[in-house]
Formats: sequence, structure tokens, C-alpha cells
Amino acid sequence: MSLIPAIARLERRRVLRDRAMPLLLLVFALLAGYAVFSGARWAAARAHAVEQVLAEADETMALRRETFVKMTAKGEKPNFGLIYATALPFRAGLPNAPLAALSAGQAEGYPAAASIAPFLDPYAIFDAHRSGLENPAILGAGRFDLAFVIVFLLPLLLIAATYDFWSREVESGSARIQLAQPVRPAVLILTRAAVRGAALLVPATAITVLLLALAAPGDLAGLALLALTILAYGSFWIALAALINLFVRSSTTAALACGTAWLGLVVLLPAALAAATELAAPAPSPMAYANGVRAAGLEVRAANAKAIKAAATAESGRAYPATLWASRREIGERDARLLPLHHAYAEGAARGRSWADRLRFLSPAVLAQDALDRLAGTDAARALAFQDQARSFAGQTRRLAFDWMDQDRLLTLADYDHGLPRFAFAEPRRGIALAADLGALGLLFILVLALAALRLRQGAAKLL
Amino acid sequence: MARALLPVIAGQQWRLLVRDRRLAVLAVALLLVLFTTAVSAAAMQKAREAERIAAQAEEGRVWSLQGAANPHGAAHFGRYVFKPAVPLAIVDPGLLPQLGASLKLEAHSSNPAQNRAIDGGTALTRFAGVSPATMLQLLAPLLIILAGFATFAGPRACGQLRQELAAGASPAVLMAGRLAGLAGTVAVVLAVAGIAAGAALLVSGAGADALPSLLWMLLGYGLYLYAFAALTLAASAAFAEARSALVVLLAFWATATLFVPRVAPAVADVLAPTLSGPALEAAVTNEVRKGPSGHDPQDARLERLRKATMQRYGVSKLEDLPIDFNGVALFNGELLSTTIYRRYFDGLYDSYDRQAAIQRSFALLSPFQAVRPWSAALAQSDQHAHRVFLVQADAYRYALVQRLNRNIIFQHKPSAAPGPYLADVAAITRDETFTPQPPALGTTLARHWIDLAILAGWAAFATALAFALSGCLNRRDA
Repeated sequence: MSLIPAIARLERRRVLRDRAMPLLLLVFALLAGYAVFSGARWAAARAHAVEQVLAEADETMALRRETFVKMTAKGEKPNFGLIYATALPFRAGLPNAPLAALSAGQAEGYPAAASIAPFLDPYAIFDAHRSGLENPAILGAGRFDLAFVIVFLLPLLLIAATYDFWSREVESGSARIQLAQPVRPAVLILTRAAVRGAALLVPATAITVLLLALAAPGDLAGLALLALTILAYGSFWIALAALINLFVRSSTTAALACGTAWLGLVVLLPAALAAATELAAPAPSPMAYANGVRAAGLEVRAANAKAIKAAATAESGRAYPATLWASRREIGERDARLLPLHHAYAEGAARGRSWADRLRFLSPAVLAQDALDRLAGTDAARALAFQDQARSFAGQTRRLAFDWMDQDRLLTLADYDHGLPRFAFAEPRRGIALAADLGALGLLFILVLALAALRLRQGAAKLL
Repeated sequence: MARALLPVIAGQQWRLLVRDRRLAVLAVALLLVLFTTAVSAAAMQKAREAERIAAQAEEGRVWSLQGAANPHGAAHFGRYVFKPAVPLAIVDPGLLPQLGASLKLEAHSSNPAQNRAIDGGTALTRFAGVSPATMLQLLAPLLIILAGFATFAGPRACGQLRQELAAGASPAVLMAGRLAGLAGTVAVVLAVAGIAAGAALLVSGAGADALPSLLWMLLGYGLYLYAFAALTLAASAAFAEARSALVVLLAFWATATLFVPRVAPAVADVLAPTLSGPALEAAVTNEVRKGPSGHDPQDARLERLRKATMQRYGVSKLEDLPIDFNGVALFNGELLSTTIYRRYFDGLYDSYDRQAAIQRSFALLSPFQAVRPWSAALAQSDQHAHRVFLVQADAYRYALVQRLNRNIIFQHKPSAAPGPYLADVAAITRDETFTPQPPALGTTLARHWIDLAILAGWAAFATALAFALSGCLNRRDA
């Protein structure tokens, strides 16, 4: 007959009697509650900021329409920006994902909007939105979001609940009696660790999911994956505490070892990995990039100077003036000249990200953070997908303007009323990366269990 | 007799700390990491500063490449300034990764700095940023806790404490001696940090100018770490078991260095919200369009300016003006937009300062909230030093743009030379140079004396607590 249920029942009774457990859960609930409040506030502010950017284009068009109507009423002919498709303003914005309140992630390191004009370099459309005006001190401290509570604080609480579950028994001498019972040490110790850890981890997971569901209802799959991520990450820490308990013989040493493990795995190892990434693939110089782009732009401008000058006084004989036709030629040349520079810079940045993406598999904390960022839609991949899509939209707006030029079509009041083409963000697939994160967390958990199994195979005497 | 025992007890405590192999390994690891991060940061900074100087020179060449260009077009093309490195950032990079290192200066617009180190990162970026300051702010207190949590509980368990008390050492003397011993650890950490920082400054090629700031910085760290040492001994004396003391101290450490530093900015953000980038830009654009009063539209202002200019020159038609009115309009437009931008940015930076003050109030819960701004301010890697740079850069931008506008006003004669006006913009702006001046040490100390006072307060409180709780030794072990 399996002894596991009996051991589990006994441990559950111990847990229920432990006065620290409700306190730990209360601390977690308070932290998670505040984090959800803080995350929801951040997400709302971000959504509002994006909406404000999107509204700019509508406001500009509304003002132009007003002027258009006034001029027509006076019998004047609307001109320039009022009638040329090349002057149309467009905006693209990255909407929040349903679970944005979960993690600020990398959202503040990428532009969330783009200001597009048909003649603008598609790589310059994010320039006005690269830096928000968030207090740098807040960015430096890091957002107090659920991801922070889960990645940084949950392991500490799990350690507090489990750090000496066995070493205390060794210290007090009761471990000797327990091991003398007809039960395999592995079954006894691992069941106890699992029950004790789960007593905190399962309610903590439920609290997190419930709080986030209240703040951001609707994404059931996301919430299920969130629960899975917390359980996988938390299980790793419970297994690690169990492993440490198999090696140390006093509560104090166990506390020191668990604390050191937390510090190493959550603070030092990821920091070392980040430093390694910087060494392996240094970020390309933004200063050299800015200079290169400006110099190349000037070269193209110089090559077209005569044509532009001639166009200033020339008649095109078309609906659009000669200057715009000359500019159209120049921007074509400019973009072709700048594209290799943009690509080289983007590839340099992508190399660094690629290293970071690979090195994340060495740290459970980074894996958990990555999974949470992806669930929140604040990860780098989604931000980069937005950039690709916004550039593609900029291409569409340019084609639209060029088509109208080719057709000698000018803006009419009907065009103002009809509205501009609008950007729509298509969510990229996140399944593979999320599966990789969860799979790697599972593997790390199994690795720690395997180490524990090796220790347990050395015999009960080693556990005293 | 009691006084004579003090050096003996301090020496004994010091020997125990040195003999603890686990502690020695941790201490050596901490100091090695501190040394490595300082020297590698210095080497990296030296390379980056060389790159910046080269890039700034190249930027000047690019500006000159424009040749004959329309001055207002050139003002839109703009110039870039790349923020110079600050020597002590190798010890404490502070907020530099969040602040941006490039600034585009152009007509009609005050841009925020761009190219922040945090841009374009991945999940790993959230964990980056280990520096000597991180070691001193985060890990050195942990080392002190690990070194001292069992100071009284250990001897108590084996009966040694009872013997010491019976030998005539009063609890206060025991506490003073042990505190002196543990303070020795703090002194060693600070000495190594000082040597590492000095070596790093040498490697980075910084002059001796940074040394006074470094010494002030180390004074702050000394008070901070001493406070942790005294609190550790207080807990060790207060709890009968070393385990309890350790758990309480670790909880305090986590609260003080991890929890409070994250909560404080979030609370400050709620209590003193700031304008978002789009909101600020929209407000400025609206005010430029409608005038500062909200009832003075752009067209009406332009019309008034037109009349006033013609009146000043005694002409009745724009064509008769001896100057280019477009230049006058641009000059006035720049004056207005710059005034509006500066007012909004001053408001924004003031709200950052209000948030900093709210965050500082959390120093009552954690000395970390005082040592972090103190250290970053002395390293000139904080928001205020950045603001000083931005203000100077904006003054340069304004002077540059208005010089170009003045050229249009006085050199362009639309009636004499129809067509686009071109001029050698590099020659026009040759005298406009930008040499940012960092805030003086005296100014920094005047702004941040309160942080040092808070740290001194923590040190005094922790000492008083330690001596007050040393009474527990007598009660339990006499």
C-alpha cells in the first residue's frame, strides 16, 4: 500500500499548524494585489498614450477639413497640404494585449506608436516615439508588477516556507525516527517538500490568476498559461529547497544556502548573462548610425539638388507640382541608399537579442520573466512585430500617395469624410517561444529532481 | 576594566570573522566582483567615450557637409549632441541606462534624449545593470548580515556568552567591541571599493577631479553599511536563536533593498503623476497653435507681427521691407515655442523632483532610499545632472536656430534674389559651440545633504537600538 497519502496528510496537518503559512500567503496576496493595481494603472496609461498619438492624425485631418471648407466657401482653391495625398498624416499604434497589466516587460524599451507620412523614411517613423517621458527613476527601479512579484518575491516566500522542512528535523533528531519507518527516504522527503511547497504555491497561483482575471477578464488561455508558468517556476524553487535540505544539517545553513541560491539565480546569474550578451554581441553604435544616415541623406540630397532647384520654378503640367515629383524621385533614391544602413543597424541589435534569447535558458528567473512578458504582450518579439507591420503600413500609405499622384487625384471633401486608411495590428504567434520557456522550466525542475535523486540514492545515512 | 576589554572583544570578533571560511569565500567573491565590475566598466567607458568623441567630430563634419543650404532647412536638419561620459558612472551608473545618450537639436522642438541603454532589450535586460554600486547597495549589506547574525546567538548556544558576562564584560562593552569588530568589515569593504574605484578611474583616464566626489560617496556608503552592521548586532542580541535573527534580518534586507525601492517610485507616480510624452507634445502643440492664453490663434499673431514689423521699418508693404519677414516670423515662432517647451519641461522635471521627494520619504523604512540618490548624484548619473545637461543643450539649440533665423532676416533679400535662399550654414554657426558643464560638487552636496543626514540618522538609530537591545544579553544569560 502506498504511503504517500499518509505522508501527505501528515505534512498537510503540519502545514496547517504552521503559523507562518497564512502570514506568507497574506503577504503574497497583498503584494500581488498591489502589483495588479499598479500594473493595470500602467497598462491604462500606456493605452491612453497610444490613443493620444492615434488621435493626432484625426485632429490634423479635422483641422484641414475645416480650412478646406472655409476656403471653398470663400471661393478660394484649397492648396498644398489640403489637397495633396503626399501630405496625408497617418499614425500606427501598438494596442495593449489583454494581459498587459501582468508585466511591463520590455514595453518601455520599444516605441509603441509611429508617425507616418508618405515621403518619410519608413525607418524614421518611430523617432518621435522612441523615448517616452516616464520618470527615469521609475524605469530604473523597475515596475512593481505581477511579473516582479512572481519572478523575484514568490521564490523568497517559497524559500521561507520550505527552507528547513527537513534540515530542522535533522537538527532536532526527529529525522532519524522518520527514516526508521518502513518508507523510502525519497518518498518521504519529496512528498513532504511537495505538500509544503504546494500549500503556498497553489493558493498563490490561484490568487494571481483570480486578481488578474478581475483586472483583465477575457483571456482564458492566457490565464491558464500564466498558472502553468507560475506552477513550473514555483516547482523549481520547491525542488531546489528540497535539494538543499538533502545536503545541509542545520536550519541556519539551509537558510543561508537557499538565500544564496536565490541571490545567485535571480540576481547574479541573470546579470552575468546580460553582461555576457553585451560582450558577445555589443550593441551597434547609435551615434555612428545617426551620423551615417544623415551623411548618406545629404549625399542623396546633393545629387538631387539641381533637379530640386529646377523643379522649384518648373511647371509639371500635372495635378501635383514639379517639386513633389522631384521629391518623389529623391526619396526613392534616399530610401534605397539608407536601407543597407538601417538593415546593418537592425541586424546588429538583433544579434544581441538573439544571444540574450539563447542565454535565457540558463536561468529559471529569466525564463519565467520571458514567459510572463510574452503572456502580457510586452515582450520584444511583439514590439518588433509592431515595427515590421508599421513599416509595412507606411509602405502602403506611400503606394496610396504615389497612386493618387499618378492618377492626378487630389483630396476632395468626400475623401476627408471617408477617412484615412487605418493601421491594424495583427498579433504575432507566441506559442513556440512560450512552449520553449515552459519546457525549459520543466527541464530545470527535472534536473534539480535528478540531482536530489542522486543524493537520495547515497542512502539514508547521508540524510542525517 | 570594561574599557580595556573593548579592543580585546573587537579583536576577537575580527578574528572570528576572518576565520569563518564560508564568510571569507563570500567576502572574496564580493570584492572580486566589485573589482571586476569597476575595472571592466572603466575599460568600457574609456572605449565608449573615445567613440563618442569621434562621433561628435563626425557629427560636426556632417553638419558642414550641407554646404550651401537654406538656413531654416538646416535648422530642421538639426544637430546631434552626444552626452559626455561622467567619470564616476563606472562606480554608479545610476539612471544613465534610462536617460538616453543622444539629443537631436532642431528648430521648433525640444526633443527628449534618445538611445537609452534599455532600448531594444529582451527579458534579460530587466536583470542587467550590476555595478560596484549594486554590490555596495545590495550585496554588501547581505555580507554584513551573514557575518554578524550569529555574533551573540552562537556564543550563547555554547555557553561562551555566559562566561564572557561572568568575566566582567558588561553587555554594552560586549556590544561595543563586537560592533567595532563588524565595523572593521565595513571598513575593509569600503577600502576595497575605494581602491577599485580609484583603479577604475585611472583605467578610464579620468583625472583626480572625481576623487572628492568619490570620497563623499564612500562616506555615504560607510554610514549605510555601518547602519546594517549595527542592526545586525541588534537582532543578534534580541533573538535567542541565530535562526530567528537571520530570518528577521533577511526579511529586513529584502524589504529594504528589493521591496521598498520598487514600491516607492510606484507610489510616487500615483501621488505626483507626470505628463506622458504624447500628452506633453499635444499640450505644447495646442498652445503654439492657440497662443499661451488659448485665445490668440497663430494667424492673428502673425498678422500682428507683420503690422508691427512694417511699422518699425516705416513701410506699408512687406515687399518694401529691407529684411526678410519670413525670418522674423521664424525668429518669433522659435521664441514662442521655446518658451512654451521650457515651461512644460520645467514642470515635468519639477514633478520628477516631487516624485524624488516622495521616494525619499520612504528612507524612513529603508536607508537604501537615501544611499541610492546620494551615490547617483555624486556620480552625476542622476536625473538632475541630466536635466542640467538638457538645459544647457537647449540653450545651445536656441542660440543655433536663432542665429540661422537672424541670417535669414538680415542676409536674405527676397526682392533682390528670388528662389530658395541658400547660405553656408556651417560658416554662419561656426561660433556656436556646445561645451556642457556638469553640476559643481558644492551644488550636488547642497541638493543632497538631506540624504547624508538620513544615513547618519539611520546609523545613529541602529547604534542606539543595538545598545538598547544589548540589555537582552544580560537578562537571558546572566
